[in-house]
Amino acid sequence: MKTRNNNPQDLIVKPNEKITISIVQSTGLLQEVTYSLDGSKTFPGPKPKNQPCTFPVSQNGNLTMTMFYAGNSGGSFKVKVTGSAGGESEVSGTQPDNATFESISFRFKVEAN
Amino acid sequence: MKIKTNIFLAIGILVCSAPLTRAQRNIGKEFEDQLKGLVRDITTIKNSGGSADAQANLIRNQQFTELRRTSLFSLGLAVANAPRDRYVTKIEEARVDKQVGTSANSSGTTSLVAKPSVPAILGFAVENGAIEKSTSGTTITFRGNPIGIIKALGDKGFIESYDDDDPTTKVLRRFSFGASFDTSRGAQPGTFTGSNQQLSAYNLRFDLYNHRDPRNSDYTKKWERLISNQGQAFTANESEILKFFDDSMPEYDPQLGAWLKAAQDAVIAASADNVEKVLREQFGDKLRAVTLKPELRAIVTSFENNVNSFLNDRGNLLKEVANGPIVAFEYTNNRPGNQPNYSNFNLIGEFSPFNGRADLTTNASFSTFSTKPTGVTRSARDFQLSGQLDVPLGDIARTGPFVFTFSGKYQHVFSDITTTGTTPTTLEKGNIGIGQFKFTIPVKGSGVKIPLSVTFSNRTEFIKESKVRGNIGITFDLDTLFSKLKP
Repeated sequence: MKTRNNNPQDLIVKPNEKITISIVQSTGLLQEVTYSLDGSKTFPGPKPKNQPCTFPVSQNGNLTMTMFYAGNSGGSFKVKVTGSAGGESEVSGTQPDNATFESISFRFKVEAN
Repeated sequence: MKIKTNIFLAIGILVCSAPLTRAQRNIGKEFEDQLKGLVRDITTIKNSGGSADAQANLIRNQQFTELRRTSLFSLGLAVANAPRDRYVTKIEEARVDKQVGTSANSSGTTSLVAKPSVPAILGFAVENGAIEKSTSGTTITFRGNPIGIIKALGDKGFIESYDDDDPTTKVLRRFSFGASFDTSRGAQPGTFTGSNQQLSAYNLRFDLYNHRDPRNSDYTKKWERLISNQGQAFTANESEILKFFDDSMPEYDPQLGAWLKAAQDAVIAASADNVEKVLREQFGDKLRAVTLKPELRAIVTSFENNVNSFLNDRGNLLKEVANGPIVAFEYTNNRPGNQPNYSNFNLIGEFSPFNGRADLTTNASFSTFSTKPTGVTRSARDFQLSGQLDVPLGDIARTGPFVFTFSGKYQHVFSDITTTGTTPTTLEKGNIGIGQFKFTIPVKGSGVKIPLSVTFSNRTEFIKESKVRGNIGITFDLDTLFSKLKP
């Protein structure tokens, strides 16, 4: 797995490589995290934050994940993405006190090449 | 008797007229907050001193992208797609159970009763005036908890992984600690040095029972249900929405692609001071000018409904959480300077009577001398019982939460205690009764609150005569102040 344009969320993988998303640091997050691959309402679906989410990439795909803050400040996270053929990427963020959005979603664009 | 009756009548009226303390969130407020997050991050890049190319690359490829700002892009489309006047920004509730001032026993406090929760990272407070003691001073209080330290270490890269919901950190999360410094003491009175002479108290607190933590196991099933239903539904909506921004997808909409490219260019060209204005233009009139494809419009409408439903149910669940009881134990080592050091063991409770429209805090404490003073035969110093009723008032959305507070305290001192220094005085054994009315005025959006209080007592600790006294203080919440300075 490699990143494109130094963007940790824009990933190039080998065909059928498995991608694993793990939340390695978490403060002030609720237990459940939701995932949707290419707009699916059920796959990979909601999972506990301490359970990595693994999915195979047979072609281009987009995985959206949402984490939910428990309170109005002090939340933070670090997400690590690893490919079964090697390589890793990281995304992190904090919840500002005066911009207290209550959930945070972002997307991983994965291209099998 | 007549005065007592009038006081209770006044409290009854205030409680009955107090509004709910939490303004309901909606998609408009969520969008505003996400936008502020992007403004903060782009402004940081622009002020970083990096080359123009490096800044442009970071903005275009990492910060202002639909990959990183999935929530913002989806929320922005929903707000732009809705009638212009549908979403009005509302503000956050302010918690009244967050104590940033010094504890009730320290010099310079405007609080009679200790509160059971502390700011997540660091609380800092300076208050002027005195209630229980005959001297006045300036006290600086620091409060923190182990999770704040673990998080800070993690952010600095010293810890590879942490989760504040794992069994160990769950226990640590229930601990907090604090230290107060009296800046009128030491070699440089009036200057905060943090020296041992200025240390006036330190404490350790443990939450025995905290049903105001949203992650308490009692709420787990309710969160799971909410996230698995509405949360999963809007995540799927977002995943679909972003396909229209992605030129590698069949759903790609060139109009949206062109909007994003132009918006990125405008933000890259903007000065740091202008970032917010430019982003508001782009997510406002510019995005509103894009005609959405019908299939995208349907997804955006579904997203809007799912997010609003999520926020509504989340707000209701948090209201339930906010009314949960808390019981905490606090140990404080008091170092008054002019009298013997003593330890205080305090059981603190907080409850929400009147259907959550008021906040009742109770304390029951017992103090013992660290070292028995000369002439005193027993280690017990005193015991205290106190209560405080906080009633939020006014229109929270427009002004922030004004809080009316009534508190009372009874203290029994077991032995006469003589102070040291050039003019020794004696704290006579016996009973002390203190009452206080306090009105706290918030300075909106600044983290500053101004408490005005009137205190009346049958005697103070050192002067055996009844007394009425007024205090004005100022309290800072560093969590809020830091957030304005944080890169």
